Amino acid sequence: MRNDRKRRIRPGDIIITAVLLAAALLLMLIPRGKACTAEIICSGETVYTIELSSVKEPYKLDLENGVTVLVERSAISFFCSDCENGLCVNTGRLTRAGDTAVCIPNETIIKVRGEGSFNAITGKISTYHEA
Amino acid sequence: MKKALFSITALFIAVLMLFTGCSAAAVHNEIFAMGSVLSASAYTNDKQAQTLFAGISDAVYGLDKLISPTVENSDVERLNRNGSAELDAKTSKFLYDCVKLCGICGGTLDITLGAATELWGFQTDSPSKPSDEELEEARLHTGIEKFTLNTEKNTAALEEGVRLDPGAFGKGAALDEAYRVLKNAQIPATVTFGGTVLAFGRQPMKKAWKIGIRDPFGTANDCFAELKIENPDKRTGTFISTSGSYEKCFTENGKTYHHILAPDTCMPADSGLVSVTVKSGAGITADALSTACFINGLNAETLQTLGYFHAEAVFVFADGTYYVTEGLRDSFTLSKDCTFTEHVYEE
Amino acid sequence: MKHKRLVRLTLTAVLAAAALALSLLERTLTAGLPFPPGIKPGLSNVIVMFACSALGLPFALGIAAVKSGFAFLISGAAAGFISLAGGIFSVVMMFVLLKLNKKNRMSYAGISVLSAVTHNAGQLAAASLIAGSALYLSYAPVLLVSGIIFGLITGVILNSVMPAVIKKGFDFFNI
Repeated sequence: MRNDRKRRIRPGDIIITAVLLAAALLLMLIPRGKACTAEIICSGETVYTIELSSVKEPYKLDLENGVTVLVERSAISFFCSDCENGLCVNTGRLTRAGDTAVCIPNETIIKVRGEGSFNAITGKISTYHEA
Repeated sequence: MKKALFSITALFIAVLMLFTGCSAAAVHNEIFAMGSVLSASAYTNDKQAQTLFAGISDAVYGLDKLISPTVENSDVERLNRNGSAELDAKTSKFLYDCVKLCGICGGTLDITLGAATELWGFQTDSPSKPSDEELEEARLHTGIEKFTLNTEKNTAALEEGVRLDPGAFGKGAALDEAYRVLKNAQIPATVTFGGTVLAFGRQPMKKAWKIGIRDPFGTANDCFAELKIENPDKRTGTFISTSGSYEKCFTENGKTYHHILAPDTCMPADSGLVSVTVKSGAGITADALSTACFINGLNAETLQTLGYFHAEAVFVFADGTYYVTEGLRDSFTLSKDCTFTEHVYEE
Repeated sequence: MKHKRLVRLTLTAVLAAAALALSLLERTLTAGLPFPPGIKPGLSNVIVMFACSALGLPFALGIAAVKSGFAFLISGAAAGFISLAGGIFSVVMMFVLLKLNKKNRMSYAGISVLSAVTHNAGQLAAASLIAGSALYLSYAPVLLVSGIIFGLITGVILNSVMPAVIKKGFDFFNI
């Protein structure tokens, strides 16, 4: 094709670039980091999957194993547990993607889905025999 | 013509957006073992991930059944109960590694602390400070020289009243087992177990693993710093272990006691530290060294020991200062809102 | 007729060699820099785009195939497959765009941007296929943006180079 006209940037170029850039920005704005979906896992089975963003009023979930979980608009936490050490409750509210809390005696895990800022955290959960 | 252009780009964007709506990049799994929780995240498809998790689970439970002092009839439990026992080859190897580590770490690491830990009651939910006489007696029943291991015959013996507590080594060893499974499968993954993390292989499309170090003054999900771990190839694993006084502590008569006991006094170590993080090429080493460094504190001897193992470490002090060994400084980044200051250390 | 085809073939071979040379150069230059995996300046795309424009679809595909073969030899079957997927998608996109551009609404810049983005998308899709899961797709925004940036660069390069080539009297085989 005879291309002597092609040496300059033309309107089509600008349109394409603008559209693609907009798409890229949109993709990057997909909410990350804020708590959206939480899971409650008891003894390996996911018993609850909760959309935290659609929670209107905070409520409590009493699990069969003696653990009570508090569900709020953008947070989830162990409210109380029959385990004696209370480490699970002490973990506090999970508000970010990737946050987790565990009640080891009751084999219950609550976590917020999504990738947190880290692949893993060291020193997070130790146990009785950590010496 | 413009229409065609727009339709192509629109289609394109639609496809891309479809893509990002898809499933998460990693598959997660948690199991409960050794009194703690092991969580694994594998970067592969679901089917392969489940096979991997099953393999890791088997390996970890297998080790637990041999070395846990609380599992009935495990090798270590029988040894503690009867004073002598015949061991599985694996237990024998594990104990040998432990003894070797204790030897290199001088008096700061001791696998025979069983009597002391039982005395303090840290494995129960109501620990309490023992009396001075009880502590004196516990000290008499502690000492690596009171433990005999025969790796040829796979037998072991303990002097009267002496008990093994492999707590400082067990989870690291379990991660070594997980490492073996991962090496076979060659799947990039992170495995977290009781305060120690194994970062295996290379994460797809990313340069390095980002491992957070828990803030000793914050909650379980707060990190004060991050370590960038870059494995050279898909068969290498890096172990990062943290020992801290922030969990498992109790207050009695106004004084707070934590659970990391110094072998010479059988009292909680008092080195001014609240957390030590060690990076090493082996799980049992990282786990043991984080305890040993915590007990010994930041000094020339500790740094020498770390150097011997080609390990690196991060020390956090009770006064809110931190120290990073030279080899780790490039990978270490303090979190944005962390107010810790650098600890001045002079030889 | 035969003559034309032979000339085109030879030219393709030379261009393919040049494309490989550019790839190698690119590797050496960006080796130390903090480039995330999968992001490349794609200088050799200038050549592929030129080939698509001047020689035609089959010959441009040929160059893409040579590039993939190179990737295969250096980094293995997976890398080769990924390169091929990206290469084929982007060349087809280039061809379609060139055909649609009769009214000249866009220069090589726009074509290059779209084909760079398509190249990355093809690579991403191939990598995900190999891994068997949507593993890499969170990486899409990065690849999109880098496709735009580097696409613009290579496109502008070709914009400047083309007139010089025409001036030299290069006879464009009418595709």
